[in-house]
Amino acid sequence: MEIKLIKEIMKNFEKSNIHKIELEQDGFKIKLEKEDKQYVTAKEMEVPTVVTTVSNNEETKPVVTDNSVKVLAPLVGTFYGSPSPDAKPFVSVGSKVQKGQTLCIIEAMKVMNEISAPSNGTIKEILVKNSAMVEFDQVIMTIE
Amino acid sequence: MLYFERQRVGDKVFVRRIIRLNKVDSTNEYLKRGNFEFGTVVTVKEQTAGKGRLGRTWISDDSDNLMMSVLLKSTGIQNVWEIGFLAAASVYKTLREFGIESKIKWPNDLIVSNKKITGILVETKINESLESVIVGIGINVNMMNFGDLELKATSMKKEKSKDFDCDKILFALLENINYYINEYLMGYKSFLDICKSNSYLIGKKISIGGRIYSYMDINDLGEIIVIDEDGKTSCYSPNEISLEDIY
Repeated sequence: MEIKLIKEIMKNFEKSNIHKIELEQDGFKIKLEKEDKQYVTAKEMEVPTVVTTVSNNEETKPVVTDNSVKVLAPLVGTFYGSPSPDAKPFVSVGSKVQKGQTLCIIEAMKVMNEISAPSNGTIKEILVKNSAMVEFDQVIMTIE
Repeated sequence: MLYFERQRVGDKVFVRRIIRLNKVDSTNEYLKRGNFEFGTVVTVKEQTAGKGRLGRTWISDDSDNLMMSVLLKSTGIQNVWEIGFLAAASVYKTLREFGIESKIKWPNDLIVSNKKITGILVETKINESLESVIVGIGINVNMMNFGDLELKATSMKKEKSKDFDCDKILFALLENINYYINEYLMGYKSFLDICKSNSYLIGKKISIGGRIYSYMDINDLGEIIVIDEDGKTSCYSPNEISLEDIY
């Protein structure tokens, strides 16, 4: 991978709202990670962020791949895995869940949105760190 | 537990019934646990685990304060954040009817004499689509002792040096919520104007990421618009900033 391309990737990653990215090409691997948005520097915070709001039209769209169901964020917001900082998480990897069970909270505009499991199953992955910003349609968990 | 039908108010009445409890952990949690019809209102005398955002404690003592939650149908709600503003405007109007002038601290706390008098917590359930919206409102009515929060919290009684009837406040509040909901469902949002024109942030400076901004307005997305010393404007949602640093 050319240095120029790597620099380009780093530049775009820095600008994006993505917190972590791993790329692999012809045996060359690159892994980029940055801190959660709440710890961004003052300079970065000057960039206004568009806030998406929840509406009736927005839905959690479970995407089935192989045997697992991807749980997608139905809105932009802050991800919380537990009802309060000291409380037990709603679910952990390996938890058995029922359709409709609360998996997490996504906070947007001070509204706490409880996201329910789209299907029965077992939590295979939790892909978002607590207090991290999630984007619309970002995969937050997988259930199998 | 006592159930009774709410009197008819306005063209459409969203309140189906009021459940009065003596003691419960949190009125929002109570509504989440049960299978209640939309328009159910829960009030409680003693809330053992009253909560704000992220499980922050909402303290109350055994003097009568108003702690209530209402379960709203998601139908007709375009943007959930607007419901927080709707509730804030309803409380603002209610306090005013009882002689108390308050300011709305964006997005949904109410402030009197620089102290918090009301907290609002909006929670939703998204089950493939928006399923329900619960609005929890805690108004400090007759509470006099706030302990460590003495400098940060106040009550109606503290402000006016007299007792208030919680039921009268509840019914006035439900009428105001009802009014704004009817208006909202017809496409009008005068509650947004109330939140803007009575914003606690008017004339305030806010520190964001080490820089000082002046508050300007609230935009149509519910974000605040701020301006820095160089005249550059920016918009922020409540998730992005803490409003602890207000001057």
